[in-house]
Amino acid sequence: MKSNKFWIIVLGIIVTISAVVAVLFWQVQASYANIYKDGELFRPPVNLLAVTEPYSVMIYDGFSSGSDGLSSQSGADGLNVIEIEYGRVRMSESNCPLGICLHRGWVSGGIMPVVCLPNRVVVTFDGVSDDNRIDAVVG
Amino acid sequence: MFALHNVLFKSMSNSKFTRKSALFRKCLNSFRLIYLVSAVVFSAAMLTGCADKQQDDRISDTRLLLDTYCTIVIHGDVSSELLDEAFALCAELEALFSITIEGSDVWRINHAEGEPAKVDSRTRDVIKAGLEFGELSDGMFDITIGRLTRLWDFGRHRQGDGSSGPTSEDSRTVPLSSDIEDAKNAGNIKDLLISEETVWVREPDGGGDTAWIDLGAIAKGYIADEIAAFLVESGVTGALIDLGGDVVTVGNRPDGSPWRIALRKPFGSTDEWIGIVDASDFAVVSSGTYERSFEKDGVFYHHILDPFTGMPAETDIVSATVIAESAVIGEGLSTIAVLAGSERASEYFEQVSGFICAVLVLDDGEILVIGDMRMLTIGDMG
Repeated sequence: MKSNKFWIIVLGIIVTISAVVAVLFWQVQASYANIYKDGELFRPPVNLLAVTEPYSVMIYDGFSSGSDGLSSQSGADGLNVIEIEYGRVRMSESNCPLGICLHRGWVSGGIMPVVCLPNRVVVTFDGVSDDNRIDAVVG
Repeated sequence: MFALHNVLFKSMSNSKFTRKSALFRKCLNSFRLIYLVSAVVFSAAMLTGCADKQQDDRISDTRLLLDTYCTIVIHGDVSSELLDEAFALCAELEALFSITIEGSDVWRINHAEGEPAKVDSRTRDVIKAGLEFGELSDGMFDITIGRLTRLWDFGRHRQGDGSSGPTSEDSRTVPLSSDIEDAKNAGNIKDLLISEETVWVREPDGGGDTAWIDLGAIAKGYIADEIAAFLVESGVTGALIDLGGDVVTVGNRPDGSPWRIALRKPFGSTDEWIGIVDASDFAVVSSGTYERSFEKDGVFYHHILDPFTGMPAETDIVSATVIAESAVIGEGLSTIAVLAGSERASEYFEQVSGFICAVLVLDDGEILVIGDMRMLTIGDMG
């Protein structure tokens, strides 16, 4: 009896862990990717579903320059390159010692962000707003 | 949906099982009743849910005021009279601030021939705001360039359909350089005195014409803010005021999501954007060189005049959109950005507490974003 109970508990733990992992890595297609550096949003949220041409964003010494022609500035050093395609992003280069962020590969959404801890670069994902109408136009 | 359920019930009633006992039938009947009731309730909920989304519970109107198209959207339980009152306020303020309407406060200041003119307190507010931006920008933002703006008169060449891009009419003339020189050397901000009730443009010490005030670079923003304040005082919790590209938002959309404001691509077609702003309770204002402009003999002339040269500003900025706590701040800073160029713009932004974010489109096509960019999405091409 005792060993039965033990195995039930073990099974329960395994199921729980796999459920948590599944939830964390479950990639519901996100519409927005947010790139953070030192805890601050580094560039405007990227609408992944509106990316027509793949491009990359280089974050170096607190300065980002994107091959989409957009640049912005913030925080500390470190080198990261984030590639952005229709519907997905990946960390394609990083000078961090372990390169854990590089192993995530392409990510299209989910609640698990792409994280480069040493360089303090984080990419999170947001869902879709159901009403995409434009209320006004400026410029 | 209903048809399908009826078929389902019919086949169940006709089946052998339902005839077997009265008790079973009774059970089935009550089950059917519960099912029907819940189906009706569910469908009703679905329908009203859909209706909410489509009708959206908003009233809006677009009218031609301020030499442009003005749209006001209000949601919630309000009467259309409130819309009328908001537009009336807009027209009332235009009649004070316009440089061309005879008898306006600005017109009377400019035609007082060196004497103080009695004006509305709101006119003084706008002038004071204009002077603050003048001080901030080391004189680049100048509300005393009325003679220059009248000389160039870009207002005549506003395109009615709201599309961007320069007009290329042969009738357009660039003012004579001697006239520009005279207008530039007319009185300036130093000759402007504001008292409790009057605004006084004195005759300049060194001779020349008395300055003319032009509030065109800031008045629209002030009016948009005033309309927003009026609506909030009237109990409105959600509204959008769009005075030809000066947008102020109050609260959120009826569904609780922020208002979505597209940033038009400079020199692009009307439905090409460079990005979208999710706005709740703040203003989004653009200044662009393509707005009121023309081309003559291969040279491009736009309406944002540099008071030091008397000519259209020549910087690397094609358009500047500023997200700020008020439209006055948005108008002031977006104009200053175009006058100052991208390198100096951010040092002016930093000095204003109501500044939130700026999107600068440069002449090489690069887009520079400065400030808190959380509510901004770049890459939403119409």
